[in-house]
Amino acid sequence: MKRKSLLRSHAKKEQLELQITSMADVFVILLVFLLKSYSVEGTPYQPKLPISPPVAHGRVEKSDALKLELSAKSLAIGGTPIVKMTEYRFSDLSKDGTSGALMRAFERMQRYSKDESGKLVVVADESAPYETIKAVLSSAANSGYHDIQLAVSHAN
Amino acid sequence: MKKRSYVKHGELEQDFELNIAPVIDCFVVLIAFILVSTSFFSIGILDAVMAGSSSEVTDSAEALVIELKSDHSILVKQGAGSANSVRIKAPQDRSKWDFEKLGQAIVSIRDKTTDLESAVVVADNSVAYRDVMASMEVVRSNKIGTVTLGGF
Repeated sequence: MKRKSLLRSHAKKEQLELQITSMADVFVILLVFLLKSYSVEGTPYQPKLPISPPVAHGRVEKSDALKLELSAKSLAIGGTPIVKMTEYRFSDLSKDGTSGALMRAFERMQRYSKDESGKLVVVADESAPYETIKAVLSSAANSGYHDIQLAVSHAN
Repeated sequence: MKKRSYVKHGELEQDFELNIAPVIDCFVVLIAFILVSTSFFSIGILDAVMAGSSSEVTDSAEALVIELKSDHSILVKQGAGSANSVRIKAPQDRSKWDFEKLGQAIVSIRDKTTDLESAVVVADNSVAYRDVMASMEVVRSNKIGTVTLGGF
């Protein structure tokens, strides 16, 4: 009889409830840590085109400026593909180094957009030739964008 | 008697334990979401200041001009009539640039010049954007604050 009662008390001990309060504490700390590092690592951005920007030490700045994306096959403004590219090159480069199609796209953007800050962020693929970068910058500057920034992937 | 049991029943209802299992579920989902969204690359910003044409810039006495050539050689010029001029040959591996020597050239020119504060990076049309940015990084790491893009 004595042995039976011992077994019963052992079974009772095994029916312990899991203490999940400490687990919740750990999750809260993990969440706070992730949120903190999330805000420090730069401006999270998901480009619409397959782009790998060059690596450099850029400053962190939260910007709602218009974004121009440049990939090997396409150029998009504000997430909308505007100009078709052939291996990063414009098909309509003029003598002054601007692209007619891009200039027209900028004009349309300015006509219908309420943003008058003149800010533009260029997110270009690292393999793009300098000629194309110059064409984008010249076209933007000639279209009234006076504050042009280059997006880079963080060196760290 | 009936009323008393009702009160007792009410007292029992207020004595409950908070079920934190769904709270933990929420945390797990939220953490998973944050971990996934951090896989988006985070961008940094550099100001694209545009200089005039290369010849126009070189005429200025103080400007440090760095020209990246399509054959992967680098020309560093500074001063009126390019008094301080260094040509860095392309490395044997033609897919690379000798940015280490570029840094050394900038240091040697900076030692000769007292007020070297800005530089212009000019590149041939076929030079890749990444190489232009890398050269700008080298210039900036050598304590030259203002780096502009040239060749327009």
